[in-house]
Amino acid sequence: MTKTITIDPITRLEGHGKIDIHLDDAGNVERAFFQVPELRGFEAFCIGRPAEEMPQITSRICGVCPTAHHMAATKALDALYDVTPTLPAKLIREFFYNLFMFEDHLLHFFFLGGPDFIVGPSAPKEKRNILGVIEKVGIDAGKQVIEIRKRCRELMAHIGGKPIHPVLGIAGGVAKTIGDDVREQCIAFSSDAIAFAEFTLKAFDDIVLKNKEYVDLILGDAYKIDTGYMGMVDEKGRVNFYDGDVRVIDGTGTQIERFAPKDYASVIGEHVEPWTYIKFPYLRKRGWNGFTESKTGSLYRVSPIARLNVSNGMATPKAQREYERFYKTLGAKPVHNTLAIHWARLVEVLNAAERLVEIANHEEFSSPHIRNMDLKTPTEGVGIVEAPRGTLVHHYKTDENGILTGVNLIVATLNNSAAINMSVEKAAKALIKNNKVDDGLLNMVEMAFRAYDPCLSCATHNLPGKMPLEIRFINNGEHEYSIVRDREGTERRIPKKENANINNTI
Amino acid sequence: MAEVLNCKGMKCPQPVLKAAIKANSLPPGTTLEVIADCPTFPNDITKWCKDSGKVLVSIVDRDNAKVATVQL
Repeated sequence: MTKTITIDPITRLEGHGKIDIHLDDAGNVERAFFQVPELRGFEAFCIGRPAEEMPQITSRICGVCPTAHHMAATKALDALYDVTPTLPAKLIREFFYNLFMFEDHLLHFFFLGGPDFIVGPSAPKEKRNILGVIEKVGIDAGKQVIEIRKRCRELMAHIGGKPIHPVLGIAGGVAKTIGDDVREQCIAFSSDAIAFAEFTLKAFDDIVLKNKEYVDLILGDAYKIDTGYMGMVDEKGRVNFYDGDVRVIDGTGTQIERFAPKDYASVIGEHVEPWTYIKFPYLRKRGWNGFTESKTGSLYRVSPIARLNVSNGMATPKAQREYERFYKTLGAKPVHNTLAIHWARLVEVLNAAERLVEIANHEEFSSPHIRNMDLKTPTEGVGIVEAPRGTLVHHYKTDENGILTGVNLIVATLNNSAAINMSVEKAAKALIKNNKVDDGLLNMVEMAFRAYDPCLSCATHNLPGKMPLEIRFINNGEHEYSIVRDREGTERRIPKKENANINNTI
Repeated sequence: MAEVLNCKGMKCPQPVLKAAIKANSLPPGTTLEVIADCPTFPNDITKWCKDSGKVLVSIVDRDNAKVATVQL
């Protein structure tokens, strides 16, 4: 009899998801699905709101990456009102954004994805978390992690106006200047941020790259899929998180698209499947070809590894050296190994820290000229930034009064949704054989999605009209029955599930 | 006769965004009166007039709000 293994909820990510793994009679994996059962619906309920509220509304999409949505929305407002921010405003925005990239990437490395390596992929689940990390690296190192993130968040609160949901960006500029006292804080923090980024890279070197078992895991087929890649680059083709064109390469490394944000819809199509709320973007010119691994197909990935793959290099010297070491070690470009995203993420941490130093010392950084208010009549605007997880698109249309009539959000995790599914299935097929499955192996299946640092609360905005739902009735811990409503709105009662249900929670 | 835009209750930068939208629908030379009670509104409207080439005629207090008169 076939069996289904369900990992629900999956852990150490932002949002809610589950994995269903279907085994055949021999106990090998037939299919595996990464499902997103939550729905947020921001694209629908923002319609009718004044466009200028979007930097505040969309920052509520997520508590982990509000700054990415705030900044994409702010840039969309620039485009909507056809206004170019002043140089000091751009510098303040970019500084703020690099603070965010720095702390968000560190959050993933130390709290979410990193424990799989630092503590170990098959370590007891109660150890695979930040407490296990601190136990492994020592209290002093743990305190450093917490301290640097605390200082970063405090600086963000100071510049952005609030600790979590910033009120910094407005059409044509920013809401407040950087005073000389804050500038001194920025300079001091940035210097320490570089030192901490180097410390983290060394830790990765010592713990992961010097461990043959981990290197084999990174380079193995279980965690490798062939796709294209997408990411933002500056005018010299180097990685940029805040501004630039978007470049797309195929799996051989050949550039196939380079587009300005306003042209995104001619490049990206969005496919819908009935079994999940997440959509599946693909390269429009190549058409939707299903969940097919190919170096020349229509699926692409975004993420730190995608940004490195599409770029000519990093814009800062120390990160550039790490970039070169990254490709020299892994042997090819583009790199298709999913677990190498962890390393690419740390290269970006160093890049963000170095960029902070550059901006903090720029003579225009504390200039009072923070707004251009030559505003035109709003019609349509697109804003794109590189969120920590990858390319993030905000697209707004308004009436002549600036009231939203259309909203489209293509969120980083959305771009990766097909690839995450394929990665999970490939890992499951490689790792689970002959009915042999345990908690450690299931965690290793989860590692296939965790490397992407997915943010599912960000990624589920499709509103099909009817919401499929399953309500489970549990009595004294026993699942007795469920009431299920399908996509057509039909409700039915089903008895207790016969499938094995393994909760792989920490 | 001036066109009147009531932005009382709105927080900056909303009054100026509304003023920009309104201004773009009116012919040059029209006088626009913008009423707002956000504390930073006088700074915002002054900067908007400067950046967009409008003439700020006056800013006066009226009924617990500021009234900016702008010639487009």
